[in-house]
Amino acid sequence: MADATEGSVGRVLGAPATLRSATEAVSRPVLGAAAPRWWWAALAIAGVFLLVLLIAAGNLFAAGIGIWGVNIPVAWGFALANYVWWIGIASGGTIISALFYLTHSEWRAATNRIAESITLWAAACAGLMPIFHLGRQGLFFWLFPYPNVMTVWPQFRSPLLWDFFALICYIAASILFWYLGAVPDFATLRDRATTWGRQLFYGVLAAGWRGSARQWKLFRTSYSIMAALLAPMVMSVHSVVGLDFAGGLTPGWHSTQFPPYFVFGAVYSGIATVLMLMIPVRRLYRLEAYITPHHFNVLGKLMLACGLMLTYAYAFEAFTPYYGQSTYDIHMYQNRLFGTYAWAFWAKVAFNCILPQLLWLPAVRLNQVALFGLSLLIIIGMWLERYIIVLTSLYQDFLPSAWYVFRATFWDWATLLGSVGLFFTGFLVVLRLVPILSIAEVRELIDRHGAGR
Amino acid sequence: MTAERLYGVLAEFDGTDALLAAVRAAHKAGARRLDSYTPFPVEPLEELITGTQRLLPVLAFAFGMLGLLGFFLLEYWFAAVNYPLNIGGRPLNSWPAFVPSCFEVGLIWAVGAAFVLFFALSRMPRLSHPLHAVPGFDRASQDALFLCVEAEDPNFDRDRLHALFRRHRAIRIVDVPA
Repeated sequence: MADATEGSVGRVLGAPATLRSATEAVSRPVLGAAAPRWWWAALAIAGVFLLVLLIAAGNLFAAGIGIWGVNIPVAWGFALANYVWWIGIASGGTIISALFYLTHSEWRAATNRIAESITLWAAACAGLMPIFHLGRQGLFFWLFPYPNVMTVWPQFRSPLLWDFFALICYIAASILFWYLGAVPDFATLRDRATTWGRQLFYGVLAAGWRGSARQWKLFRTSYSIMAALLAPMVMSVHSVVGLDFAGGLTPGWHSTQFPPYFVFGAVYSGIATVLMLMIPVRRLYRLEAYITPHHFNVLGKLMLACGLMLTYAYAFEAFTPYYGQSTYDIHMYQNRLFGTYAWAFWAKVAFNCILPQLLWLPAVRLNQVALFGLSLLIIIGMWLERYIIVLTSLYQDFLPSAWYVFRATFWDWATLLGSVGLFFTGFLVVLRLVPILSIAEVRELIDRHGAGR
Repeated sequence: MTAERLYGVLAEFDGTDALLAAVRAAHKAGARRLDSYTPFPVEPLEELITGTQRLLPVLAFAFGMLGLLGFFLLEYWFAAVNYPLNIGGRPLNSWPAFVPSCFEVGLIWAVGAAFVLFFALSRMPRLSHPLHAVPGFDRASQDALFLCVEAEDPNFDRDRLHALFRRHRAIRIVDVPA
């Protein structure tokens, strides 16, 4: 795949990039008169799934969560698995854009906008799930500490409430970070726009950015501070998600390793999503000069590293029940290996631990088809991981008379696939309205690497 | 020409080195109210023109701490004073359990402060500016590098600036009307 026009490993820029060509290549898809045909086709498909989500949510609000397969003791079903899955994908996007900004990694420049856009929409999908999952969705605002006629306050000692605060703070911070990072690019679009409507739209978004040294100084100071705060924030968010489980006494959840275990998985699925979407976007928007094999190589290595960390966490998850010798823990783990949901466990191990070992081979890291396939399997594997964590711990709990086998209903699947529709609808809108690479950061690279104007 | 009120004198340069040299020379000639306009950040320029930005980080930190401590006190008041809840005989001020929420709130206050302060200190949003009226200035956000010495500068002298920019091989020099 790595021919001369595509650049080479070790180079963040493909051969013929100049300030002007970079500006044109990235702003053309946004400012082009009509959206390309593939965009409309993709939007139509995503829109159908979004409609499925709306119908599923409408039915849920009208009929209640009985339309799902959940029942005591399996009170957490798809909604919680979906929630953890989406917030994990969101976290990975933030790690790429915030953590690797702080390390001054050059490959970040071409990937951060994709990663942050994924974060925004994945976090939106994640935010819906806990609300769906409430028995009475209309009362979700009870989570806010507001003075009310009941004269009670939320229970601040509960991980579920920590999670609520973590999630809304994280979503708010992600939106601010995404927007601030895009301000210089909005200014570029404002200055290149030819129609009055676009000049106004991007002019307002650019808020009067002129690229003065003072503005750049403030921009970079503010942006670095936000990146430095978002890096610990995203770790804490997914750790708190882990504590949602670890705070319960349920076998398989009550473990101190959950916060880091969840963070590993989150970064893993986030990088997989970034890779999976980067490959088609690069092709369709002809960004080969800016997203080079170097990016695939780096992200492939990162994905492998996360996979190994996650495999370590899986190994510990297997070790502790047998070391601890609790009947219930051992029973839970035997269920994972051989129980009703064992198929999902082994699929998870195959997708998340075994197949990604192919990434040791440089040829696989540079083969876009292989990377796309592996990323897709990892994303599915990460969903299965959460499915297993939720279900195998719940369906056979302490009381055998209460055991219950969860079977997903049509509405469970409709909610999951519908949320995928929401994600892709949002991502496609971003793809059409916002430069999908940070043009300003790519220009900085071009200036530094001497490709000229 | 002199009768017209000026915003400043704007010059375009070819490459960051030429721009940097011009900024240094203008600085040496006594110009203090000057700013460069570039499509990407140029660190040495920022050093020359604005120096270190101290206010923003300090204020962002202060707001973050305010959010963190303020929310901790709120949590304490909720859970230990206004509606004390006995959970398994644990102390009412179970402060470790209050940490995650106030940590997140502190972070969002700091992030929000950094965001708002960026706009406030850079005087944004400001949609209309004399420079936007200069033909070709739209390339400052694409591929061109500019330097502008403002008329409010105490040592502002249009003709001397023109000469200085010419010496530093400016591609073009424009008087910007206010």
